[in-house]
Amino acid sequence: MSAFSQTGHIFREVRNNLLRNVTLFVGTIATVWVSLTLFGSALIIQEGVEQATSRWKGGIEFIVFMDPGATDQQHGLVRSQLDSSPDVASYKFFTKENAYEEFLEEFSDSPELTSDVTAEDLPPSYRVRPSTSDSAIIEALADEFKQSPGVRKVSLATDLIRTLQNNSEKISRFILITSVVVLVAALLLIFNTIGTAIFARRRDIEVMQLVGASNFFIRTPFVLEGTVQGLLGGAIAIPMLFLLNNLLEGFVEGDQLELLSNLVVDSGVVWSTSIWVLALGAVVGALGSGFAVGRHLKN
Amino acid sequence: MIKLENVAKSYKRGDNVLEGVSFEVARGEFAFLVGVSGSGKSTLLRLLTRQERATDGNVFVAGKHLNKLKSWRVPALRRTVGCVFQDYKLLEDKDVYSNVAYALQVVGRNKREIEKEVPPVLELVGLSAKVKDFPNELSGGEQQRVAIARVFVMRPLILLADEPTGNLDPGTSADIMQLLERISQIGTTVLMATHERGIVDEMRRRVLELDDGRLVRDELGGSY
Repeated sequence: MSAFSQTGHIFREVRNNLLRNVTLFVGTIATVWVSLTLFGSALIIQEGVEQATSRWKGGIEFIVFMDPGATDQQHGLVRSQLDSSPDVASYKFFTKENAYEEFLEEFSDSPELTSDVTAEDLPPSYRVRPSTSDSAIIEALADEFKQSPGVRKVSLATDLIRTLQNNSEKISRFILITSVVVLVAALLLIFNTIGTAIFARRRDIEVMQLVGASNFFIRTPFVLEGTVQGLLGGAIAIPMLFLLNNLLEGFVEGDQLELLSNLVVDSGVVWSTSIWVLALGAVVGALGSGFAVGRHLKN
Repeated sequence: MIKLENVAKSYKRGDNVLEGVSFEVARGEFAFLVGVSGSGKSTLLRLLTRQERATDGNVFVAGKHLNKLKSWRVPALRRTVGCVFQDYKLLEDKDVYSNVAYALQVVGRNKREIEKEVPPVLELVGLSAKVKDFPNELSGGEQQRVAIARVFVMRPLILLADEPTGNLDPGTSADIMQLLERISQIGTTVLMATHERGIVDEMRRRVLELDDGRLVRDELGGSY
């Protein structure tokens, strides 16, 4: 025989076991799902921050936001300051209309917001690319503009990068730790689910052992059951990761510094993270059920 | 076929359930294992299927030295040593045919073999007309016949029976004993633990008596 009919038997057992206790099955999968979503999110955030900050290492920028009502004279002063500074490589003027277009794009889903705002309300700005990467010089340069009349605010990319680097590290570490805690909970839950399944099938197991079924034959359905739970939890975490990346994309759209937009990773990164998530789900499922089988099944 | 040499079994130090037990049962022999409850009968049977390991002494079953048998070889041993119990241990959600077929199925026999092997065994135990019945639709005697069929379909070298008639009335018990005798005549070694005096006295077979874990009698054609 009969590897074929034995394989068939093992798969039937897995299916029946999974359906035997639906509430426990759903609870276990939900736990795996939450933990793996957190885990995958932490990986994606780390990747996004790496991507965002690495790009900004090369060409640090800052933006000089003018008052919406700044006079031509005030603009002229800022321009001449930019033109004369040896530390400025180039700059680009961003009009109120440009800012308004960006604003409309950003809030295209919220007409109630955009209807009350006109181009006149938004600040024009100068996007500056310095010729040096020395952050002390850049900060001093930015400070010069803070004093200029008609300037509302100067945003420094370096500040953002530092904030982003510092906070994202903390956030992703926190998410990662949380995900590990929930993952351990998922492992224990799988351990118990399989323990319950073994208990429910103790009569069959006893008979199988008495007539000499192999340990492989008796144990495999339970280990597979745990692995399937882990895989399913991982599988439904994957759409969550794509959703998270899309949400992030919506959130950073229209970011004037184009810094945050780099936090959004492309779908290739989400897919490769998904493979890790699936693999981890399978490993957690196999481990949890393996421990349960080792604990509850004796010869 | 079965050989015990000075076998001891204890769960707690100094508290022996079995002590210095030695005997041999030849191929095709039929022997009773008698003794009051707690004398060690069930423990002895459990040693023979390696559900338990002897604390001391040697246990040989079907040519295998069980003290040295590796865990992964235990299933192979159990395919040659069948067990029936007082509580039958049938699967309630399977009909008669499936209960018997299950034994072959879980050791990896294919459908064609199963369809060939099961009907003659059900015929032997007199249950051909009840193949579709479920255990709860059968009498105690019929359930025990299914249990015996499930063991016999594996063509074991040895059949161990632990109080197989414990839940049955005398008439039904006699039928079950006839069945076990037939199986023994086919060449299967049968060792049956019981404390039913009537059966032992009627059959006049070899009697091994345990008392407080020690073998106190080994008598051919003995009574209870």
